[in-house]
Amino acid sequence: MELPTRKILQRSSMHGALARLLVTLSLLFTLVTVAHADEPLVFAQPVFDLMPAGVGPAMLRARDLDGDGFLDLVVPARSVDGTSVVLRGVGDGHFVIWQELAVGNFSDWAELEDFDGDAIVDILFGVRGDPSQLALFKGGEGGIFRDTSIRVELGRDNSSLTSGDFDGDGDRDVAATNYLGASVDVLWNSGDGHFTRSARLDVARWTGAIAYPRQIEACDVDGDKDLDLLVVLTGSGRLALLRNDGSGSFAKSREWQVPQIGDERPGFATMALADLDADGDMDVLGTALLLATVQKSIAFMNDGTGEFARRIVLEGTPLGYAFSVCLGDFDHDGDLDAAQGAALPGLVVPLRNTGGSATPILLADQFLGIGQLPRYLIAIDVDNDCDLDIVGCDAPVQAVFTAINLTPQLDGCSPRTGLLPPVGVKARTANARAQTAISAIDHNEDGVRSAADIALELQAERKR
Amino acid sequence: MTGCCAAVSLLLCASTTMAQQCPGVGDCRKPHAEPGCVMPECCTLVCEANPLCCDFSWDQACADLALKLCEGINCPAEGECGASHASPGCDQFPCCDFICAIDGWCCSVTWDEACANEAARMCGVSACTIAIPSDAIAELEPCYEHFNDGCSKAPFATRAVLFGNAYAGKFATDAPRDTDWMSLGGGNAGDEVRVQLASEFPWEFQIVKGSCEGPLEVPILAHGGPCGDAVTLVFTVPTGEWYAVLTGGVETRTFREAFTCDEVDPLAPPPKEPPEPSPYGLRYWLRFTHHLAADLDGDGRVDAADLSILLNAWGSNGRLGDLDGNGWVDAADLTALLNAWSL
Repeated sequence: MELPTRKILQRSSMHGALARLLVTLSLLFTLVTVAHADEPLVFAQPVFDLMPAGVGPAMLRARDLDGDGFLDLVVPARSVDGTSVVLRGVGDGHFVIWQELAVGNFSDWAELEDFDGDAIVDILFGVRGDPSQLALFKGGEGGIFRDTSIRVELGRDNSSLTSGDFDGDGDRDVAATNYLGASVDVLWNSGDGHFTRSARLDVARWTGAIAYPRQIEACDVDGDKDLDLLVVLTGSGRLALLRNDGSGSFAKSREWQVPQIGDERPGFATMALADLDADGDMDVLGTALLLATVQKSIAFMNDGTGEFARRIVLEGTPLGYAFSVCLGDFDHDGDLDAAQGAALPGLVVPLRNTGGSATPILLADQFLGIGQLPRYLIAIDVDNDCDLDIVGCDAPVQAVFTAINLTPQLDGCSPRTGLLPPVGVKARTANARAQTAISAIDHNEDGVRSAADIALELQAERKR
Repeated sequence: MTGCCAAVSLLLCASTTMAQQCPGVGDCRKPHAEPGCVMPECCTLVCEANPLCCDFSWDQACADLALKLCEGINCPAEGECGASHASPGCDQFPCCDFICAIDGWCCSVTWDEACANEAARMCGVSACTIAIPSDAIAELEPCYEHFNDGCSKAPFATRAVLFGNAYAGKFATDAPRDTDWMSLGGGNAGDEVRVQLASEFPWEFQIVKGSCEGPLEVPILAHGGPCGDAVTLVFTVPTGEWYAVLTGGVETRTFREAFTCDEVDPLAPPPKEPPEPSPYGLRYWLRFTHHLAADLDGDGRVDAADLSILLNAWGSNGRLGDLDGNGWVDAADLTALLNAWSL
C-alpha cells in the first residue's frame, strides 16, 4: 500500500491544534468522571520533567534505588555525548536528575538487576554505535552507580536487551537484539557480570525485507519452566519466538505475522507481556500502527504451548501512530488494563479492560496529551497510594512524564484525590521543543511504503 | 612561454610522483617519513590537494588532510581480513575494497564476524559464468520483478517445480531483495529429496515451513558458491506446508546490496549514472530429484555405474557404497543396490 504522504504532512501540521484541543477536552472529561467516581479510568494530566539538554530518553526502568520509599528511574538515552541518566523520584509524580552516566553512545535499553552476584542491583546498558556493546555499571551504596569498564561486543546496532537465568546456573544471562543485523545474541553470565556470547540467532532470515528486531523479552511461554525469548520484528511485522531447551540453548525462530486490519498490515513497534486471559500462560499485547484508520492493539493469545495462532484486534489510540504500550490493573478490578502511547500528536490513552479476564476488550476512557513521541511506557506506583500510575518518556521532547492515577479503586485502595497541576511550566517548555516532521521512506526495503516504515521512522528518531 | 612550459612540466612531474607514491606505505591518518600512504584512494585525494605529501614526506599536514578528505575510506587498514576486529577495514586492499562494496558496514563501523566470513568466502574467488543445463526451464521473472517471492511480498506466489526438471533463475538485491520461493509437487512428508544446485553468486538455500500468517520457521539453511561445480544437498520433506527458497547470502548474513539486477525495468529505467555492476553473476540453476541412497553417482538412477562404484569399494570401510551403514561395503550393500535398480 502506498503511503499517503500529503495526508501525513497535513496530519503533522494539525498536531499542535489537535493536542491543545485534546488537553482541554480531556481535562474536562477528567473532572466530570472523578466527580462520579465510576468505572472509567481517570488520570491527571501528565507532568513533565526535563532531561539534561540534548539527552533524549529512550526507555525506563524503575526501582527504589536510594531506599527513600519512592521509585527512581534509570533512563537509557540518545545523546550526542553518550550520556544516560538516573532520576530520583520525589513521590509526587516528579523526578529530578540524580546521576549522569557516560555510557559512550546512544543507548535504547537498560536492564536493572544484580548481574555480578553482590545482591545490589547493577545497570546493564545496551549501547548502539560503533560497535554496539553491553556496558555494565555496578550498583553501590545509596543507589550510586559506577562504570565497571566491562564492555561486551554485540552485533550490528543493539536495540533492546532482556535478562534472566537462561541456563539455570543461578545468575542473570542476557539476550540482545541486533537491529541492523536481524539477529539475537545470547550471552551467558559467568556469575560476576562478565558475559560470553553463546549464540547468534537469525530472525526472519527468509524475508526480502529487513526484519529490524526492535524489542526482546524473556518469559516462559510454553510452560516448561525455562525462559524463552519473544522478539518484536518491526521491519517484517512479526512476533518471533525462540524456545529455550532448558540449557540456555534456543531453537530457531518461529514467527507469527500481525493480522491484517482493514486493507493494511499494521506496523508493530512494541509489546507488553502478561496473562491477558487469566489462563495461566503469558500472552502478548502489541501496538498496531495504522495509516488508514484509528490505531489498534493486537493481542497474541498463547494457547499454553507457546503457539500464538489466535490474534485479537483491540482498541488503541484515536489519533497519532501507536508506538508504545504498558499493562497494569489500573482500577484494581482484577483484570489487566492497558495504556497505549501514540506519536504525532503525542498521546497516551489509558485503555480500560471491560471484557474481564477471559476475553479482554479495551475501551479508551481518556486522552492524555503529551509532547510528541512516547517512546516507552511503564505502569508503576510513583506516589505510594497503592494504585498504578503511568510513566513514560518522550525522546524528542527530552522529558519523562507522569500521569497520576485518580481512578477510584475497587479493592479499598485510596488514590490521591487532589489533581496535580495539569500542565506546568516545564511541560510547556517541553512541548515547544516538539518540532519534527515525518517522512515516508521504504525503511524495511520490502518494496512498499507502509505502516511498518512509519514505525521504523519513529524508532529511528534522533538517529537522523 | 618559458613560464608556461615550466608550469606544465611541474604539473606533469607532480602527477607522475602521485602515481608512483599511491599507494605508499604508512597509515594515511598518521604522519610518517615516507611520501604517500597505504590507502590508494585516500593517498590520491590528499596528494591532489597537496602534492608535497607525495613528493617528500607524509607529515602532520598530510595526515590532517587525510582525516578531512578520506572519511569512509578504510582500505587497507589494520587487522586481518579473515578475522574480526573492532576497527573498520582490513589489511589486504583488494579483499577489503571488495567486501566493503558488498557490505558497507565493514568499512564504516567495524570489521565484524560477518565481514570476516564474507572475506573468507569471497576474497580471491573470481566471478564466473556457470553452464545452465540445456533442458533447464527459465524463470519467467526478470530480476527487477517479484513474481515468486512467497511470504516476502504480497500477494503470495511461488514457482511450481517438479521432480526431475532443471530450473534456471536469477537473484538480485534491488529492494526488495529477490527471494525465489518454490513449491515442489509430488513430495511426501518424510521423503528424502536431493537438490543439485549451481550458482554464480554465494547462494543461500532454505526450507521454510508453515504459512505466511504463522507460525513460519526455517528448519533447513545451507550455503555455498559462488561458482564451482554443482553441489548436491539432501533434505527430508517436512510435514505440512513448506517451501524451498533460494536467495543470496553467506552463513553470517543475507545479501541486501551490491548484486544489482542486470535487466532494465522499462517502468523504472536506471538513472544517467548506472549502478555499479554486481561483483558476481546473478544466475543459478537447480534440480530436485528423489534421493536414492544407492544412486552413488548422483545421476538420479541406480544403474551399472553405481554397481561399478560399489564393486570398486568392495570390502572397504569407506562411506561410499556402505548403504546399510554397518561400516563395510559388503554383500548386504550389493543386495540393497540391486533391490533399488532403476528400470
